[in-house]
Amino acid sequence: MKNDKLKILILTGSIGNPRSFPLTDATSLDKTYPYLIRDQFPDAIYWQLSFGNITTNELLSQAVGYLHDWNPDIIIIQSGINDCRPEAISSFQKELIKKFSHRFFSIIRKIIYNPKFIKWRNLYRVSPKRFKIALIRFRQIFISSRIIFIEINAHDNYEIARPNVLKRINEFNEIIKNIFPEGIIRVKDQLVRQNGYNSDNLHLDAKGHSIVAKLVIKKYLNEVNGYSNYCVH
Amino acid sequence: MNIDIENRIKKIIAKILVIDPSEINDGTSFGTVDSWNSINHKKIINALEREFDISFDKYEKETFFNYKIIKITIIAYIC
Repeated sequence: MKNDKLKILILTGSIGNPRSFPLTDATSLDKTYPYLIRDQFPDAIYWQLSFGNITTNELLSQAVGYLHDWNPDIIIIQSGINDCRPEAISSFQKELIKKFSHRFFSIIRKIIYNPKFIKWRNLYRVSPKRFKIALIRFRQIFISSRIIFIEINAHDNYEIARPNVLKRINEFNEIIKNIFPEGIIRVKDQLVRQNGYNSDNLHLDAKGHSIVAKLVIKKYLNEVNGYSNYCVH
Repeated sequence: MNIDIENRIKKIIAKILVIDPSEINDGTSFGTVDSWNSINHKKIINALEREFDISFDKYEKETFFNYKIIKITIIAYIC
């Protein structure tokens, strides 16, 4: 029986984080799916980075920078909505506005997050090409790791706040599927069916986290070759 | 095609670091070559961007501390 511990790397945007507001949507840290996964495999070694509003390349580059020699057995990624959802202005323009008119940003914010303005401008924060490059690069650097990529997802009602987002999600999910054909996990159907989204139609409530954790654990983690050989102390 | 790309990358890195291209392998890094300092590091990135007509993402540039990662990144851009 092997004594090597399973090494699991978890990389997510804000969806993997706990939430404290609004109260009806609050999810504590130990109810988030990364922690539910940890509960299932308590003897594994984990490294988790969950960072809000981060682009996929920035998130993955953190792992490349610090962990390229760690050789995790499994990498679980949930990222992409920040890259693909339609924006009214570029990130650079947003920073300029914040810097030079921070007093009025709350007013300007109402304009730049107005669905009609978003629909008209329809900008990418990250182009599909750049997104694809980031994924290909990551896959090659962590070539010996089994990569599980949770599909980019949101409730259909998210389209109200972000017109055209569902089309963008499909577009970017196709890229993920092409690069990780065995690794992509579909979660949206179950989340919609079991009402796992919170009131912003994007982040998960406690039930949603539980659903995602179960899907990851059931579909992939029990298929890891030789997992049954790892000692559980 | 990948061999051609690798040779071009090695040629550039070797020229800037004043080493023989044959000395460059996946283990060649910021920590293994004395002449790979922060100034030469920036020169390497700029030269590679010009050579391959690429504009690297700033987060990628921060990870370019070994030849292997540079090579994989450039191949991801081109292929």
